[in-house]
Amino acid sequence: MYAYNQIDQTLVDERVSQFRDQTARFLAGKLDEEIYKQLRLRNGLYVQRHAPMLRVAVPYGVLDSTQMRTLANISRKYDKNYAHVTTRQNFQFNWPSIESVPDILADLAKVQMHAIQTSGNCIRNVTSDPLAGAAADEVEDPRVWCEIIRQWSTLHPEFSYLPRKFKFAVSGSTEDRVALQVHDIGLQVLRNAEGKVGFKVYVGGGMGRTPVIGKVIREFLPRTDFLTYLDSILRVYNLYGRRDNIYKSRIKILVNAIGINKFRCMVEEEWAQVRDSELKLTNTRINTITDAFNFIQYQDLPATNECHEQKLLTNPIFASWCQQNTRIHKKLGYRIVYISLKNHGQAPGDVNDLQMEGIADLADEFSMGEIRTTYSQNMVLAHVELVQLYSLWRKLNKLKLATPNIDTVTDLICCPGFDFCSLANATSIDVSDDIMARFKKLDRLYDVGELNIKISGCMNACGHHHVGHIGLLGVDKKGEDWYQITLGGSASNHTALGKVLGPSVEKSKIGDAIETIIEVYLELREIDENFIQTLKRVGRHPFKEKVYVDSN
Amino acid sequence: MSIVINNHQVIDDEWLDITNEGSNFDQAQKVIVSLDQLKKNFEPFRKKFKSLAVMLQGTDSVEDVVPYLDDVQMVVFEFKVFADGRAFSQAKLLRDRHCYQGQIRAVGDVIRDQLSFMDRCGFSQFQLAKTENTNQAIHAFNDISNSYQPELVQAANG
Repeated sequence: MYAYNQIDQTLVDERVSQFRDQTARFLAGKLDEEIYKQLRLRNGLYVQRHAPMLRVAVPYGVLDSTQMRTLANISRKYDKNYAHVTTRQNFQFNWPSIESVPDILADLAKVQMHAIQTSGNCIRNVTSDPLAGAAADEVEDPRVWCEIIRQWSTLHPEFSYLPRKFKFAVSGSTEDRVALQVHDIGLQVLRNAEGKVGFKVYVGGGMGRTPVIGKVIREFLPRTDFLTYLDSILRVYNLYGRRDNIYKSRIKILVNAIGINKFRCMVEEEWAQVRDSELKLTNTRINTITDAFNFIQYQDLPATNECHEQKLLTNPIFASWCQQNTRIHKKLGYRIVYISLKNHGQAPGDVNDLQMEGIADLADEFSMGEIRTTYSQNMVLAHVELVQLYSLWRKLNKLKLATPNIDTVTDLICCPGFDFCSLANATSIDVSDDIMARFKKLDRLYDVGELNIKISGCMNACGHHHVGHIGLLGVDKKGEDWYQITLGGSASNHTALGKVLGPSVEKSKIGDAIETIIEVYLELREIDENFIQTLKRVGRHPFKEKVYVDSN
Repeated sequence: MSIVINNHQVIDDEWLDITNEGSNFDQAQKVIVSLDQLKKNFEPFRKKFKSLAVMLQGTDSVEDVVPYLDDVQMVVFEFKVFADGRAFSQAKLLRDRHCYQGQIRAVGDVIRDQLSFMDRCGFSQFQLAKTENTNQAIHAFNDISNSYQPELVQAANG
């Protein structure tokens, strides 16, 4: 993990004092509510339906066991004994009081954490591959580049009052696990024909009311030009992005309005001016940041382990957990382990204080003290020895964190919805729980196989419904919750936006509709065909016919 | 006379804003005019007033003021809304790209919590919003003592 130096620590400490002063001025009536709103948002503090919500940054989804214990403590001391993992790998606390937030931030700062730029119209906390450094298909560790972005974008004097929020994602692997193409900027580390490492740069992707797939602005960006190029994109956006209409202010609207070629010209023109400025990275600078990570040293282990093999043969539940919730590691003898935060009776991504402490202990015991949060609102222990998988599984089971459902129907993404959010039209947590209940039986779950459901409670699309294989969007119809269904979305290498199946469906029938869609798939699929492949082959019509059978 | 922050100190403002007036200000020494006024009356203004400043809006292009920079002692950016951050880039372009050495002033909806960012983008004078306490606001420059952009990158590059 990246270890703070004195400069990093001082900055975070001073931001706490600054925010404490801003909050004190607001509470004393000396700071206008609208101004305080903009200031608090830039420090992760929302005011929601029932209470404030504090979003804590987990830079590129990596945290250590000490930080996890602090989060557990905060949930006990200032909240209701739980926290929520978001699709941008951050933590949210749903019930703190405004008065307590400066104290929470002070607690966080002691363990090198903060809430800087987790909301507001600025460069947000950067997201990355939860398997960074451990994935077998990795070109280069993306975390170094995420940290370079973190430092460059933190309290940026020029880019802190952008037209709208700005989200980065960085992937270092060939498989996209970060939804690269639905970010304002997506950066894919790759090696060019000459063997040089650089970046493919996507710009103008995003969800919300106007979902857009990002466009390639540059096929190969050399490493040393990393920051100068990002600086150029941001300057063009800051100067020319719309500010008259909140729904037209994201960079995707600018790129679509003038076209990617014109936008690219503007960026390249700007870049020609700054390419050799002080922002140009040197190898020394890149190495300094790399060294601050103290990357994990692995042992040389055998590729297989007899005890492990035996457990697989004798314990089918353990075997299905291994099959479903662990992934290949780049180093022989290790596995990557997913911790599922998707259980019936629990909001997707929620984790309670005892589970957080349990995860911290397990990280120390089994995964070198390190934990990741994921885009799909789960967690990962990235470096577990094969021989220890069984023991880890037993302990995860006790914490109710071993549901073997990663990448299945019940591993769904869901926004907080009307239960918490002031923007939502409809609830999303109860719909997700209904779906989980219907697919509790593992045989059935595995028979369906890889299928992502994503649920958003409103058009802002925080539940990423546009890129769900099945997407649900909550709409308000005369005070009642209805849901629009989309099919065929994907956030993978072949990013696609789902297409609307038909008229929206009322809440009492949405669970049936989902089951119907899945039944149609099971009926029509050919051998080894997953949901998306069948949908591509047969089209939406057979699904539509069955879902809307009553209305025909 | 109103006050402004200059070089982190509070001083009296000597400039007269005539952006909404005609051109009949014989007594005035230092005037702030709009870009439009400047373009139309550049030569007479230059002769008439001791010092000239031009006020830009977020929608104005910095390029348009470049031909006049040698004769303009101050460029003023008006913040209609504090959250409109275009002037941060515009000021930076004036300093870095066009090597402007005169004063750059922020006026309008200028709040203490943005002073440090403005300072680092090249602003040198600040006329704060009416709701702000200028004498207290000068301490805001010291809220955060270190920054990542770009000084530290430079330092680390050695």
